[in-house]
Amino acid sequence: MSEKNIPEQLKQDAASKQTTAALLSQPARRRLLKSTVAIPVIMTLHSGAALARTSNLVGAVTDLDSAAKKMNDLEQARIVCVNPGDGPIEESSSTYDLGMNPTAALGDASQDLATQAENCQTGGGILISVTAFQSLQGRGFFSDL
Amino acid sequence: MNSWYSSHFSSLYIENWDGEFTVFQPESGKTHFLNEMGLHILTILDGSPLRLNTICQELSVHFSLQPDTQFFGKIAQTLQRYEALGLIERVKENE
Repeated sequence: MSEKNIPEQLKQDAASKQTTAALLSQPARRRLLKSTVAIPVIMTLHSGAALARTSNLVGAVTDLDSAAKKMNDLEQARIVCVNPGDGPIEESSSTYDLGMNPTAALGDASQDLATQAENCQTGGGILISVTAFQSLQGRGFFSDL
Repeated sequence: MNSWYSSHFSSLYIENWDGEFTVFQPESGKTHFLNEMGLHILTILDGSPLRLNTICQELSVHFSLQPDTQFFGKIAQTLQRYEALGLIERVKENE
């Protein structure tokens, strides 16, 4: 595969049904992603060296007592809902690679912790332990929380 | 309300494999495999930032879909993932 930096051309390709129609006449190739056009699909192949340099692995927790929280000015607890980043390191694993730039959001203080956690997980987020949270903060992440 | 834009789109190496796409991201050394909708999100965010509603509207028109709340959720998840991967950036707007 030759790699050419042709984003402008690709923009046209992605938008062009004509291009797709022309390609359909080519010999059938194994289709990993095309069958699910109704939702975006992304899979990531990690560079080994880059992974070693940038990996931020954490274990997701489900226990509310051990999950990281932050208190607001009214002393109300807000759950820390972490973006799962690159996702589980293996299928069905509870260990996640948060990627190069982990991000998180805080739950709604007007809700109880269980509801905050449920909303977080429903939206695709994960809960992490206080220790993991502090470790990531020590590396300069989550400074906006 | 947040908007997103594709901050380093021009640095990506993109190849079309019969409607599936490999995207090499030099910054991270990662290679991503995207379907057409996955790539289309990146292309429409290369320019001015767009909000979730606008992105979903554009996708539903382009792919002739009837968006429901689940679709909005999937797109929101994808944007979060792209952001974590460094493919897009979030712009926080004053409400």
